[in-house]
Amino acid sequence: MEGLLITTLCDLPAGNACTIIGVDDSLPVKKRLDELGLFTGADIYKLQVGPQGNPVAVRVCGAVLALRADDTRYISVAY
Amino acid sequence: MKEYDRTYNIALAGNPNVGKSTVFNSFTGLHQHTGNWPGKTIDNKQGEYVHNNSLYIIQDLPGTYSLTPSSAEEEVTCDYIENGEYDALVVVLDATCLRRNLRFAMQIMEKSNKVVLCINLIDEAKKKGIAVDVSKLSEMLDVPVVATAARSGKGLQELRNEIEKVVQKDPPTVTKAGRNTPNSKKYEEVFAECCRCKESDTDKFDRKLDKILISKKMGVPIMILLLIGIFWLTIFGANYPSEWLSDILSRFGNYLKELVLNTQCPRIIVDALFDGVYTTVSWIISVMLPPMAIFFPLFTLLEDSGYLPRIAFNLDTYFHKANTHGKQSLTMAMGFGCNACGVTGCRIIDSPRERLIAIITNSLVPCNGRFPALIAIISMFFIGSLSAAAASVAEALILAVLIILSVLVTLAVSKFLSKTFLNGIPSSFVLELPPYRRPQFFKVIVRSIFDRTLFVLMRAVVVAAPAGIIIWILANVSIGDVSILQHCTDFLDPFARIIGLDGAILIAFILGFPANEIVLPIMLMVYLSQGSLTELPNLIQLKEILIDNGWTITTALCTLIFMLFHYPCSTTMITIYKETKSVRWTLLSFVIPLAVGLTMCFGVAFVSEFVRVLMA
Repeated sequence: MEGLLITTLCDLPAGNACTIIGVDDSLPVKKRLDELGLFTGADIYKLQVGPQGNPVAVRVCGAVLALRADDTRYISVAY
Repeated sequence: MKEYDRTYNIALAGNPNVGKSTVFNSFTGLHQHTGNWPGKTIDNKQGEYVHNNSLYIIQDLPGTYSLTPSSAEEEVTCDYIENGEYDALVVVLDATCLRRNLRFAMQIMEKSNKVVLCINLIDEAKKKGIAVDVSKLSEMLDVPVVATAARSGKGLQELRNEIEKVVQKDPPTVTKAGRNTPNSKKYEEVFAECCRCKESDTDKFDRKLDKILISKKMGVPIMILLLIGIFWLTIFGANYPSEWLSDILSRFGNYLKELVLNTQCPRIIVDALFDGVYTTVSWIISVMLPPMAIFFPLFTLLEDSGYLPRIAFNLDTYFHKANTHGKQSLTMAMGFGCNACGVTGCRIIDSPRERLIAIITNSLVPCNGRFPALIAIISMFFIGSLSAAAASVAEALILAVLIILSVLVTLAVSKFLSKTFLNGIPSSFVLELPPYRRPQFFKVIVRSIFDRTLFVLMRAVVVAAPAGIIIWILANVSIGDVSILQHCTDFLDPFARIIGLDGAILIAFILGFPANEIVLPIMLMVYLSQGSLTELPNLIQLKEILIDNGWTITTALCTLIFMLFHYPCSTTMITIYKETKSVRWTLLSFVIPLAVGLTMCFGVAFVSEFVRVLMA
């Protein structure tokens, strides 16, 4: 991970590619996110955020998903 | 009766938004019907088609992301795949998003060995620079694989042939827990082998559109303009067809009445049937059908283009603050068309708590049936003597203020519900933003008319017929010298005055329970002491009639507010009961908007009385 910055998906500025390095187990939608391709090791891209910073649009596996900003705090990423 | 060689059962499964329904619709055409899965409020779509003289009964399973049953849709799908009696299972995959889709397909293949893979949207994938090696895929997974572009019909004939091969195979010896050992990572391997793409810039155009349509600053204003445009088209586009329909129906009614009068049928029964039932039903058809036949296709076009989830994206932050689901913004938008449809639409919300909130608050936004009355009152009492152009702008602005008010009340009531009756934390919100697609105009129009417009109209007519009889009896049977209707009006008057209305307005709302469209006509019927619903005169005459009957600005304002917030119409009430299966929630849906309306009207009447006394 040398040379990489570690942050949460929430704090990552929009317009950046990143790799998920962990999803907190206390996140209620962890299972659903896993099914949609948001799991540790996945390469994703944060596209843009909605009004007042919520929701957050990310591209994963070629599809675009919108997550609530609160949930993205549970996802650690490296970029 | 045609004879077929054999009958086969097949089913379609897949992630949401992969074009499953397009495949289903192009296979079955109009030979399909929608019911409910037993005990669940999930659509069960079935249809049939004929191929090589065999009949195929095809089942469209709910779109799901996985087979671990965590929502009702997944339960239905999972149960069908494991226990259903089918001869073939077509798994539809999105070629533009194959990695995730493959994972789901391989979960299914662990449970079923009658799978045909349909790699759909292959044309879109090609445009985006994604190449799928179909024969390699088929070889690695050991199942038939067909590439299709269901919208243009490409590959569908081949898919029918492959399905035929699978259904004609001998009954497999292993039925469950199939041959593939669960291997969660295998799909990555298959994907890497069979799919070549330059993923980074496959969706440039979509991202550019999204930069505008869901941007922080422009997203919401563009959305509001778009919705205003749709309402405008609906309201003004419906005027002429409504007149024609009402004209044709009344002529036909008169003709029919003449015919019946020539028989020995007693006059009173003929009058009750024609002036009561027929007039009310035909009135409702002619005022409801044209706006719905315009609004729903427009709405379905938005749905088909991929814009609708973007509305949820734009509004989620506000609904999040109200402790509810972002998709409630969609059901609310549908409520502007018809509250009954909005309530049915709440099925898209998974969490039962948030679905109930969306159902109960749906009728807080005005539907098509209420817009004409709102507009008429605004232009009579709030515009004054402006030029035509200025007047229509002022009208639109006041209407926009009312709509924003109704959205704010929706959010406030949602928040209130989620703190009281429906307490709980908001379930998470994961929304897929599908690629933008060019909508298929013709199919959209046909489907929306069958699925939504006629459905609502039928429910409305069922209630309107008995209501017509009641209205007629009340208006035509007299006790003493005055009709029962007049007695009721006089009785309600003192109470109505407290909330800024009068007896006639209140009785019109009560008798208008079957449909908001008939509130204004009933009001007029009472003011003019007529025996049946009459055609509205032009607005200037109407205003004179209303002012002669004591209308002031306060009356107009309170009527507007009460038009926005009273109880849902009977069609919506029936729908709410069917969706919730609960008398309690249905009653709450009745009481809450009524309480909001009564409180606000009382407030306005009180303040205006206060000001009047001060001025005097």
